[in-house]
Amino acid sequence: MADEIERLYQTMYTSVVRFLYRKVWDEDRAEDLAQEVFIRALAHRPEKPRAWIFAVAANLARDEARAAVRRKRHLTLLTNDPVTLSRPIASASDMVERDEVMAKVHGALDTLSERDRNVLLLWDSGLSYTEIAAQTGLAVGAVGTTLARARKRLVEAYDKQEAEARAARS
Amino acid sequence: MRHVPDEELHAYLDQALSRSQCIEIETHIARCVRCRDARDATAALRDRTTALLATTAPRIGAPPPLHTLLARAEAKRKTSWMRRAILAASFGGAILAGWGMRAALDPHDDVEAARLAQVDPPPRALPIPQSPVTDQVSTDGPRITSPAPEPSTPVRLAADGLSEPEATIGRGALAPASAGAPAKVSLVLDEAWRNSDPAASGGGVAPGMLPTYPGLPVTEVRVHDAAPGQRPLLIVSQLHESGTTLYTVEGPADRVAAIIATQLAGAPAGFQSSDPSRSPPDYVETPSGYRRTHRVLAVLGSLPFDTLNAIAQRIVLR
Repeated sequence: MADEIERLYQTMYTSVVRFLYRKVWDEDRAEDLAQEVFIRALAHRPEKPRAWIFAVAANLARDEARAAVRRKRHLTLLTNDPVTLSRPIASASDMVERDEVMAKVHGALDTLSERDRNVLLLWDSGLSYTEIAAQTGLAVGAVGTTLARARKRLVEAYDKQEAEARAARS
Repeated sequence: MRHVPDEELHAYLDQALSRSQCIEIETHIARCVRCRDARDATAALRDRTTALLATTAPRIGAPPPLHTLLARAEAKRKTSWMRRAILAASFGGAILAGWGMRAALDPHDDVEAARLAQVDPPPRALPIPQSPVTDQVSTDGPRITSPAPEPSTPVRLAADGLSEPEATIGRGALAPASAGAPAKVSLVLDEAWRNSDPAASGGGVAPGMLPTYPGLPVTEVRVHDAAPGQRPLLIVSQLHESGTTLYTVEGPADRVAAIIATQLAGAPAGFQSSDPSRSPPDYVETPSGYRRTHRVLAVLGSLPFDTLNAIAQRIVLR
């Protein structure tokens, strides 16, 4: 079983980091969490490791998001502080194009419901409909419906942000 | 035949349908322009989603070897042991303090009571409310209001795996470097630093945001203005019970390292710094979410290196 986890570690590490990254938006943190997932997998030796790994990753990301909310409260305090007042809009123009696109995709993903986002990210991580259904508690038939909605909303939200950015520039 | 619903086109393109379902859809699409267009649109949507998501792929290398992960897990397990041990030691300290107080108040043995009364309560036995801020003191050295206590025997914990010096806490951790007077140190700071009233949030940084060692009075807060969007660099001075001043430097990793190097150059012997360690929360909000800033904190003072490290681990930054 340890060999099985080791093999999955080699093959799935990148997908797990990518999955986590799109939830926590921090490369280092995503890698830390992914490694934590595999450490736990080694300790627990789950029966269905593939699904288990993404389930644990999703849970860790959720905990992380809660921590981020707490951090945000700190940051709200900080932004009242004149010396740390930032200029988030102006700095966007300094960003390279890739970062701009990424920021918009990030923003677009954030507009999705938790379930839609989760299904979309699990699909993008290479899980099958059956695996996604098992993990999210959705019926297999509902995975297609959810993915259809999630894809549509992601693209709509992205296009909307792009239109807004264009309008702001002109 | 009915038209193919949207979700089935997604499932079809995602290869999530049975062979018979696929044949059924393909047969229909061959005859139905509307569903063929819908399939093409769905395929384009699917490709676009994949492309958009691909822009958010993190830059990651190969996974670290699995055995390094296991070593880290082991280290983490030890740390959690250590935390529990520190708690246990605090509790033990509280009992000792209580016993000392009781003995001190016992009128039947004046000699013994007098001896016990000199036993300082362990510093972290109970949470001590933040002391009111004293007047701003000069950086030329701390005002020593009480003689430095005798160095005491470090409290060693009997728990498994805790015989390392790092596990030495309580009075040991807070004992001065030597029994002599602490070295007087002036921080070497440029004029971009300004003093901030630690009691007032209007002074630049909210009091709750200061990195402080719990229970020690804050004597001075200095702020170095940061670039927009960044948390400023801070130095918080706290008067340690040994009479020495602890300086907690907190900010971006490179700048903290530079400040430490400046302060240690030419500082009197015994004035040392802890290792810089991560300072939570080390995130700032940006238009694209949170960004890690790699902020660290380090503690400077006339105390042994191990002690400063132990103190740095317990700095609270709410």
